[in-house]
Amino acid sequence: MRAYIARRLLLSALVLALISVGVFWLLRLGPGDIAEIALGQGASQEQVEEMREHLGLNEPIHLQYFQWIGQVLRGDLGESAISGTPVASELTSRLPVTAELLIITLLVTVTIGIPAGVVSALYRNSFTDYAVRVAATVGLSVPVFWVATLVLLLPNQWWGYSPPLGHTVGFFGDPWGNLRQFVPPGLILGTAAASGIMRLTRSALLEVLRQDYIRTARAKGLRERMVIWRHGLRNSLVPVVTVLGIQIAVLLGGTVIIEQIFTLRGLGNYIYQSIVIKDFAVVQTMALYVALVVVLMNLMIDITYAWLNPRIRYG
Amino acid sequence: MEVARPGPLEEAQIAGRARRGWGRQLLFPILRNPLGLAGLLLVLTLVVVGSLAPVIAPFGQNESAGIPFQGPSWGHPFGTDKFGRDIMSRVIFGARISLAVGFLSVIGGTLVGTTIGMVSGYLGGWVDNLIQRAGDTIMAFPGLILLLIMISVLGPSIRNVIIVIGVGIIPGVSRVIRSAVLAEKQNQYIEAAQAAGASSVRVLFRHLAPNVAPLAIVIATTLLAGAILAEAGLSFLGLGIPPPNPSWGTDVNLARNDFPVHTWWVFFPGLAIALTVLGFNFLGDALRDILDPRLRGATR
Repeated sequence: MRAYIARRLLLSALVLALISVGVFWLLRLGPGDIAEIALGQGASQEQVEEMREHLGLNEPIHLQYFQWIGQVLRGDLGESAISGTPVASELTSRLPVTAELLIITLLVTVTIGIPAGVVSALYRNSFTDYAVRVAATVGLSVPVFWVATLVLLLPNQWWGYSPPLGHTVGFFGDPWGNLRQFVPPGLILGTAAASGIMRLTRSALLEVLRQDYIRTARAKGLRERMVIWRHGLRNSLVPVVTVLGIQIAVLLGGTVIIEQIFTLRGLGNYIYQSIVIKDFAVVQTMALYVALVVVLMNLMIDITYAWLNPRIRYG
Repeated sequence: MEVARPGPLEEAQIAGRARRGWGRQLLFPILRNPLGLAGLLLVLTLVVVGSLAPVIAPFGQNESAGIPFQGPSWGHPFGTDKFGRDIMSRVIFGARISLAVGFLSVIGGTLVGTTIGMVSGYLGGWVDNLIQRAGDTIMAFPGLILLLIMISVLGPSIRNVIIVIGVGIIPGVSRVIRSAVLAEKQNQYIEAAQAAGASSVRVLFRHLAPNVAPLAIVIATTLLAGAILAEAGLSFLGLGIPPPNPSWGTDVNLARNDFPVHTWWVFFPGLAIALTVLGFNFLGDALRDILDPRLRGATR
């Protein structure tokens, strides 16, 4: 087990190192450097040159990389080249917003996706099954940004209703206002993600129900409910939980769009704004941060499995 | 927002099931599958509408056709936008952009991804390891954020959107193709070709490629929906197809940022995206059901 964890940790570190190099290099492919972008069109040549010197842009690129990654590893996340705001302070104020959004989203995903998948698998080829599957495909096809825009727009036009916008309402200060702000985007993102989880639960359960041990369980006279819950569902949830972990990455992308529409000041909004204004100092650090979250998430899931299932550990 | 990547289970389902003789074996089952048929019809309608856009559309894509901000009427079934353009005509022309971006990015990405996957699977060893770790790295990163970063570096344009989405699907494709090649290269015809002294390049492109091609086509079909959705998402965020091109995503974004919002301007382009993606998803699902014997047992 220890060797397995060590190997996985090493691989995760390698992936993160590659991502940091990749993003750093990618951001420097385009025309114009950070100094020009930060100062804008009106800046004189001397100002740009001074800024370059200040930001260390005249150093060779690999030295710049090591300087950046060295700072990050020492816990200094740097600051915006444009506004001068430290990334760390933005991170602490924005993380709770995205975390709450993701928690609501995951709750919605699981409570809709898994039961729908189970029902669909148990009554396969029935009308219910087809209805659930068509609904799931529709859920995968309808663009989240369109639904979100309409959800914000229509109640406002019909009843003049709108959730709190533009500022973050804390859960402990004003729980009702907070939920009005976070539940609609969470529901939209969650139902979209539930479609994928539903399909996965369905096929995983169908796969498990074909196994010999299910036949054995039935043959020894277990009640059907027992067979499904104790033997079927439990085993079919293994791939589902794995994919929920992978979903974190997809959802982090989704927060970029949904936070933009509901004007939530979360991490997705921060990353998007930084990309739009080409604040590359922020983009590279945040990209690494997002990758770290995704990699750690997957690492945790893999280690949990290895702990639960010796076949993976020694595989 | 799902970006065009095969999911882990889909990967597992598709992998190792490269099949020959796909023409007759595929078309008829699709026609018998109600959802597959619906998908095929939706997609065909779209292709026809897109290619005949100048004939069908009552107005030009950027033509000022009437008073701004009208609701649906006989003259303008979808209404008019801020600039007095006919929304229906723009939706019709938008089909071209959506399809062009979808098909070109998927074809390009699949070709490159298939080549990389074949080389990776056939050569094995450190090349394989390197390619697969690089793929893992890209896949560990949220797709949409990667697309946004790439497009902000390259600058938003139709060509760059195609490139970026195409690049985004390479790792997923190469992974599935690689696992199919691992199974395929055990066959005797590969051994025979090697024994006859064929070079690696010849074995890859002369002997392996034709047998992997059907699988690549199926993967490509399942990726189309995601690619179209990705273009819409990028455009909606203002980093995709630049105006005044009639991109559906761009139009929803323009409409949303206008005040007061003209609801029909949001509604119709978005509906077009939803129906298009739905059509490709139905079609892709039907293909996968047909090609995957294990699922076939489960669903029939």
